[in-house]
Amino acid sequence: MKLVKKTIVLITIVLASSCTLDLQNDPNAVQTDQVLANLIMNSVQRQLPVVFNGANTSGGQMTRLLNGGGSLYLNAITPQTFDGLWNTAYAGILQDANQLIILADRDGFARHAGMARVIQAYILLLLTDYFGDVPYTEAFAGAQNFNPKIDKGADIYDIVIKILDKAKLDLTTATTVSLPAGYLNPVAPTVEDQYYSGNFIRWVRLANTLKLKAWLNIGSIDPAKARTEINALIADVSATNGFITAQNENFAWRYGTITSDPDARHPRFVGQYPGGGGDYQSNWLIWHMSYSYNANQNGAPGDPRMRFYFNRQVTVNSSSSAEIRCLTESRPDHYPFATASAIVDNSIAGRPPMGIDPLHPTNNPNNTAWTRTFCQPTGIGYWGRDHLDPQGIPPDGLLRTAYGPYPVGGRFDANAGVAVSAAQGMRGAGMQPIMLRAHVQFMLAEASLTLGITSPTTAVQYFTNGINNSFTDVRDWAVNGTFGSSAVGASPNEGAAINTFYPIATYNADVTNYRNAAVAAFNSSPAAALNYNSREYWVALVGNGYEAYNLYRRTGRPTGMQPVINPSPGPFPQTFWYPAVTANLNKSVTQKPDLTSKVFWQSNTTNLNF
Amino acid sequence: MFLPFLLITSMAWAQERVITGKVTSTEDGSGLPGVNVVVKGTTNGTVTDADGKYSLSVPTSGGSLVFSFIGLTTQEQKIGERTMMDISLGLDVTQLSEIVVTGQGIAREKKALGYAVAGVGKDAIEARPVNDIARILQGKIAGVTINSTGGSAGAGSQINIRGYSTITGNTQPLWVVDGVPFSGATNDASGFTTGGTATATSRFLDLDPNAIESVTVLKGLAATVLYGDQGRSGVILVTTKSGSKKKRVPEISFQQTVGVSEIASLPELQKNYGNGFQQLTNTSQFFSNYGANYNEIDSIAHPYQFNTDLSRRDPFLSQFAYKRIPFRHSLNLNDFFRKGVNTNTSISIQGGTDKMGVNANIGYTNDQGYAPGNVLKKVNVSIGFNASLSNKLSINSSVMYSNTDVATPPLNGATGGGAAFGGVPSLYANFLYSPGNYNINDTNLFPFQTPLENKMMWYRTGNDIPNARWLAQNTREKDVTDRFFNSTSLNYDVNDNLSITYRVGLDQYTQRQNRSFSKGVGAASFPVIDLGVLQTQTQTNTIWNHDVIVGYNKKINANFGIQSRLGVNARNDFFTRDGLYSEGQVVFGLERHSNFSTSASRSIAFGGRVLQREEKSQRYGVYGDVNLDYKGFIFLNLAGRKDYVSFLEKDFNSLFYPSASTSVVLTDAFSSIKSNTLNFLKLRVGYGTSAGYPTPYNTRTIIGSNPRGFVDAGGGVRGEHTISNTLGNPNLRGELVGELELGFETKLFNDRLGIDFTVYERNTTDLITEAQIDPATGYSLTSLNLGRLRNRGIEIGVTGTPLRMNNGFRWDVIWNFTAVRPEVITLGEGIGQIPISGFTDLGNFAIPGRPMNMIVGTKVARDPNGNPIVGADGLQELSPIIGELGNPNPDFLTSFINNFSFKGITLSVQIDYRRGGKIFGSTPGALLGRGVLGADNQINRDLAYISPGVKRVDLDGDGVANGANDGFAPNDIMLTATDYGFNLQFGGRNDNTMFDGTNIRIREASIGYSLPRSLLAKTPIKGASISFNANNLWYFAFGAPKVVNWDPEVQSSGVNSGLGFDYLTGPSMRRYGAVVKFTF
Repeated sequence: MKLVKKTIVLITIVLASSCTLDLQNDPNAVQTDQVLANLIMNSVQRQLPVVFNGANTSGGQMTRLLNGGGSLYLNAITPQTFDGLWNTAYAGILQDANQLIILADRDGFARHAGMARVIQAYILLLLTDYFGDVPYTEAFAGAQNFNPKIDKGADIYDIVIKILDKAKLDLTTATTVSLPAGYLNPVAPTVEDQYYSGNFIRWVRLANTLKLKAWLNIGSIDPAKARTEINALIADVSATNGFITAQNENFAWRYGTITSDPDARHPRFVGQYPGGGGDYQSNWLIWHMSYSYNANQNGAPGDPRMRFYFNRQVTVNSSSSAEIRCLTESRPDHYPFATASAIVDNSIAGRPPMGIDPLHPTNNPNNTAWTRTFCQPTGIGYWGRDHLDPQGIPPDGLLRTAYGPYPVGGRFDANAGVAVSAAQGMRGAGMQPIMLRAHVQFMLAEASLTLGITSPTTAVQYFTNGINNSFTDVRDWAVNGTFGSSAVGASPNEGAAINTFYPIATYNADVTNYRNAAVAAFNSSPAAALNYNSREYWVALVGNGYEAYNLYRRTGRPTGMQPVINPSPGPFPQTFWYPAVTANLNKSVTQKPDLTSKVFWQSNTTNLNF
Repeated sequence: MFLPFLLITSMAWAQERVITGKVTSTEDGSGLPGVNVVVKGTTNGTVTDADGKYSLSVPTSGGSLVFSFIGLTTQEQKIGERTMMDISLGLDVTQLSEIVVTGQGIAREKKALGYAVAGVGKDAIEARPVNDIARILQGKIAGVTINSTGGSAGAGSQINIRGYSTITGNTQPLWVVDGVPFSGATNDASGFTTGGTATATSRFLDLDPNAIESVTVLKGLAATVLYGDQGRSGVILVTTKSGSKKKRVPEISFQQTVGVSEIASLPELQKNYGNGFQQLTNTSQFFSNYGANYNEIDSIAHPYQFNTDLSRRDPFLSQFAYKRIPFRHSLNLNDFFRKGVNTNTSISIQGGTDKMGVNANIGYTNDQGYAPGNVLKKVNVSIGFNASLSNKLSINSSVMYSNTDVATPPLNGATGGGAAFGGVPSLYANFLYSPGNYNINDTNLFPFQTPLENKMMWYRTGNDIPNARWLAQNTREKDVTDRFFNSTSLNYDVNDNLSITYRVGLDQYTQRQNRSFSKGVGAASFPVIDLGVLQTQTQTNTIWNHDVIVGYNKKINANFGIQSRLGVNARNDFFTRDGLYSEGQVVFGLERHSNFSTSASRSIAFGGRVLQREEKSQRYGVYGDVNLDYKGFIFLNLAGRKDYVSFLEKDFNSLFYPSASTSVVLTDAFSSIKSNTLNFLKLRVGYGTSAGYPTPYNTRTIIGSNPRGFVDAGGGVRGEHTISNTLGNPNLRGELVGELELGFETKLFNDRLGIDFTVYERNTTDLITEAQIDPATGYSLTSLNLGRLRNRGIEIGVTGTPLRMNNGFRWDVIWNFTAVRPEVITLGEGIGQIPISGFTDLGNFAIPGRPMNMIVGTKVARDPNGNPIVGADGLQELSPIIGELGNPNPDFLTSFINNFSFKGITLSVQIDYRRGGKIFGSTPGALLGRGVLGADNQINRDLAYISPGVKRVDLDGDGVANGANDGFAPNDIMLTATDYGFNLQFGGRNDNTMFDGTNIRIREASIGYSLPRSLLAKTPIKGASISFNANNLWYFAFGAPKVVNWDPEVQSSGVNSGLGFDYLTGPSMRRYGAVVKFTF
């Protein structure tokens, strides 16, 4: 009995002493009160190119900057396509930016708040432009509201403008210790700014540029308002204002070179270089660049930027249908040939003429290469795919045309014609061209042409600046890998290869020829100017399908794009599907019946359904 | 001086007489061991030995002996003047008081239970060619569904009892060994998409089936209520031989199994067309066999000379440059796999006195799988004893140690492209991508690695499909578990009515998992793994479990009896994991972290899991039950438990759940209905409840932290903090499960036929669901109480003896039938569907109003009449919106077990049949799509094909064939054989990869012979038997073409949830062998 009593006493003690139940804090994690402002800022900055890269894919595929599959517009991009983008945008960037702003406003980290607001504004513009009406005012409430309603796109644009104005105040406010709100704490941590290394005037210029971009879109429906606003932006020439104009003001995310923990390389480089494969380039873009304005690149025909955009793995065309299926297929009826002297219009009634390139034919009607592209865009090994070609994938991963150094950090095309590998070129230290000075110039040229803004610079000057900026930055990027920014150290670059194969003097001469032809075309008729501007902007937008998609919907230009290889591809997506994660999970969001609903600012009626 | 005295003393004893004799069974005349023989009215007694013999000192005159044994009639015989008394005992038909173990280890008469309990004895468990208790139980218990995660030796098992109690939480049953919890967890080395689940071992593998006395399954909640939330998916009670309280005669038994394991079946290949596409075979290497006819080309260039990686190509140039090889079918799939040898040695020693029993079991298993490099080694040692320390105090304890060592090449899931998803190679999937004219087994013609550097070499010029031989040799997953387990209980009988039991359990295992890939597998598909990676992780799981139970039993009067208990339970779980991940192997093949250039605390190549982790949880419960019986034919049981748990915030951390059940033995209540036809009839009804709790740390939002979020071009390392995308829910409550079950048990025709029938409905409300939410809320995932899940099912267990002849021939059958309809009734919050497992665009989903685990994926677009729409390219179009592909839940499962016995010869066959249940079958899909299959499924390459469906036609003349006013016409767009065969199965047309899971299989077959005792009489051997047995001898799946030889019994998405996905993880194993057993 004694033994029993002792045992019971012992058990009682053991049970009582271990009975706490207070084990809800996860010992494996950082708790909410331990969060560090700089580290959230890093997270917000790094996630921005993740969203941007996703947007570039879909926008680029729609605007023939990239090939996409799917055969029908309905299928080319599905609701699931955007699940990751939506998740990173809302639960990642915007949520983190909100928390950072709360923290920063509380502690007087005004610069953190300002940068967070600029990125917040950029993401909100992107979400609106891609999906139309999206949740904002009821969003980020966690368990308080699992079904945030969608807000009108126009209302979100209004909010964005206010956010950008607030951001500019945050970015310029002086150090003080007395003001309760929006003050800059002198002991705020120094930001690890990956974009501008803490140069906040550049952030202000980015904010102004985003305003320009927003007003240009709104200009489609409210030109008077847009004109006033853009005029005001241009008129403000104070030192703490202006747009992105210098190379080191280019808003671009730069990737690194390490392959693991984390893989810091450009995701498209990672998808292509180590083993071949990855994205198919757009035959239409290759063809366009190959024959534009009779341009030459180091003695060969083509836009001088081609060797920076594309890297051929082979320099002669394949003749094996095991490698290129379309070689055995007949040219679709709606991909008409052009003869040497006469360009055949698209034979399908009611469709815009595919055959008439606004840029080329009158300049060189006798060029025998001048046929509409199908299957193989050139005779020198360039090898992508036609618009929405849904073929399966043959063993061409180490044959098809790869990315070059711009913007993904690949290899410069010096006619080597060898298979890609991870150790080549800039080794993946590419960048995401989120907002570049060339883009600004083309936007201003468009604003001149469509809105009649007041500016000391004429439309053709803006156009010329845009071309110059694009050519300079494309080459400089590949030669230096820095865009002149000191935000991070030097990257591996292709400077040696480029300077040997394509000296700067040759390049500049080729650019001058190109620019002169382009400017002549721009000036050829007032009606054509917008198309030429859009066309140059489009080619300069490689790596940025987002702005290309906006441009195409805003202006309906460049015209004469390659049709889908399927003759009945269905309507062009005026906005994209709501992502499955919101349409399926949020009661307040109803999936669109089709892809014909337009973003609020879109008034252009050009038929894009081909 | 001393010795004579002793002699005299013993002679004095000897003057009391000794009675000897033998107790035999009236059934077959065999000796009955373990029968209690007691001199009536005294404590003087003994038990019979293995032959049924006994010897007992009895008073010089008078007295009676009482012979008793559970389940047999008790007999009382006057001794008289006899010195020898043989007796035979028969089945106690009148009482039929089968004793079963119920909740918290309490033995009760089965007839008193108001719920279904199923048991399996050691005869159906031991001496099997497979040494995994879960595989052995397949088909043996109605209501229990068991799927394996793959065909390798040691692969885990998914066990479902009565459907699903929860959607995204744990659905696996609680294992209780000798009265205390035993972790049955399956710890994967990484997630499903990175290949960790297919080969992860389930921890019940640590049990030695040969050391198990019996298994009892508590299926319904009325039965499991005392186990609290852990019992809501059923409880599997295992009583080991060491933990059994049975008194035993001294005995040593030795058992040796020797067998062979082989792949159960392989597809039949076509032998007419070689590697290629569109009837073309050239230097381009495809993974399809849509190339030229073997008659058309004599030879082709050796593919190695075209390898684009010069470091791979050049070492072979002298050998293969300009070399041509015959173009003919040369691959024999069988040559790749081996016949593994499996052995099991098992020794059992037992003995004891009337106050004490001891039992020890030692087992060693060596089990080679069919895949090269797959081997399971297991050592089991267990010792148990039970002792009466005094008249009132007894102790029962069992101790187990096991070492389970599994090694396997990677066998994770893969779908279409040859390369497994998640960037991890997979031996079986990669092997199946061998073209017919490249014989992977001919290592002279196709060396699998380069000389010097040992880089993987195979036919694809871009090195994107690894050579399975290289994988078998240079990759390994190892999983070694040391486990210590103890269950000890002290029982004190205060008086005849009151007893106190204290039971403590300690279950601790340390599992070391290594995954290693030597460098050089090929950077094309495996850029990181190509560097050579090694991951080691060690996890320790400890469960401390304490119970104090006070029992009160009293017969109040002749009619009323009461049995009651009040218990307190405390359970503490502690899990820790540590590990290291390295990449960049320096010296090929040396799998040591010191041989790698970088190391990290996260598992970078396998999904990025942080290797260091700890989890602590606590549960306290108070439970009680009261059993009333009236005249031994009406029984009522009331029980309840209140839990306090650490998983939830204070306001929500406790729940009370009751149960009630009753049973009425009609044949006792109305003895008039009892006859030789109707021997026994019992009706029962039970209602039980249980709770479910989330995994730890779901109530508070945390900060996601990555100290290496980004490393910029200049080498700057940027740490990151992010608000976790998982929203902590402080208001999370336990989920409540309720179940009503009705049933009857009957014995008919002089016990020749027994039926146990159960029908039940189980409802879970306040489902704790790991719900995806719109990221616009700021979070993408949270745990919510929402929705309701309902399971309805029928379980039928029939036992019968169709033949019992006077010459001793006997035919016994067991027929089990299981049908469950799990259905998601609502999800609440307007949530349309929740992905449970797999990918968000191809996986198992919970959809309101639909069966649980619906398979959802990309579907072929269909016109309003349901015909597939075929696009202008002649291929079926895909719908942009994912939709339901099929219901993976089988209509029913049934098994039919036949045992024949005649004079020591036994023959036994178990046949399992499953009807229905759709499966996403990547194995048949990939084989069909690649055009490798044999004669009766060969696509004639010379014909044109038309995809089934309709094409769009332009009716309104606007030049566009998909406007509102357009229509459809039968498709007539011709395709080549390649386009048709390849694209119909690949290209995301998941509809065409769905197959019906109906299958039939011979699960077990055995023939055995026990030597007659008479032959062994003069040897020390008490018993000897030999048997030949087989597991998974044959199967046939009705849902896929026969040439595929597909095994639908795989569960590639792991054990925790999900159903109906076959991702090329390898078919099941067939085993056969011999067992000899000696008893001394």
